[in-house]
Amino acid sequence: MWFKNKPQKNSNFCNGIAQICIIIFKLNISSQPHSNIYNTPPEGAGSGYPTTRAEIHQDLTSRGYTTSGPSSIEGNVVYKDPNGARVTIKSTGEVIPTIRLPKNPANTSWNRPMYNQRTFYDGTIIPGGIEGSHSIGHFVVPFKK
Amino acid sequence: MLDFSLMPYEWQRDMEIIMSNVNLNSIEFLSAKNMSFSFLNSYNGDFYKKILCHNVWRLSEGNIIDEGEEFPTFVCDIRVKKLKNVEIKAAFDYLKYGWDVPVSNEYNLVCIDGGEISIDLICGKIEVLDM
Repeated sequence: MWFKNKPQKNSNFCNGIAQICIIIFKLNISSQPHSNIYNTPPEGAGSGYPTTRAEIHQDLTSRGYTTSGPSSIEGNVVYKDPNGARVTIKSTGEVIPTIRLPKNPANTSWNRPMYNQRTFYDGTIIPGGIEGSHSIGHFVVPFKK
Repeated sequence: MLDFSLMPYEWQRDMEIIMSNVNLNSIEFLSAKNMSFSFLNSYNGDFYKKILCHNVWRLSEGNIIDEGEEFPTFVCDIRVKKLKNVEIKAAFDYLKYGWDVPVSNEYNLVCIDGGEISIDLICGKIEVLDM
């Protein structure tokens, strides 16, 4: 296997600075999963986030989400709502909410291209520019059969 | 080494994760044996990467996508492992390939797993394309 990458446009120095910034950002949000600046809970919401599988199940099903339960193959669980929102709990316990959005908001046709946008648990969109496997630090107990 | 006697989420930990938290946008048969999988990012829906799988010998797909739903679908991890030695036959057996292991210089196991879709395949050469 090999990778064909785009030509590097930035210098190594700039890439290094960018990597450091990303690492600092990751450390910041993973160490403060309930109070980071991108995910301030509504006033009066208290601690806000459910922190166990049972709490998440209770919270999501009470809001109309449905689930087929965990896959015995890869251990992932997905909760769906009728509007396209999903909350996936990976076998590692990582909680990954997404919402379905049009790729071009100005396009209102019935068959407009859509994509699944990552959000924080409260539905707040994760700021752009971060790609890949970063974690927002929301974990529950890993799957074990 | 992959131990297929374990649960998949256990032996998959020994595979390399090449992408996480992306949208699987399309699956194409480029020919009888070559396939491509294209992915969008999860931040603005832009094209992210494409995986070209050459010489696909075995493909296993399962999903719980509801009727009427369309791609893209969110996938958690895309894992790849270059199979070696006893892993090769074990992987073909695990995916219930019905023939003798084909002769090749390279065998790769690819696992694409999301909450709603799961794809395992064995192929030859793999290319991961950024565009």
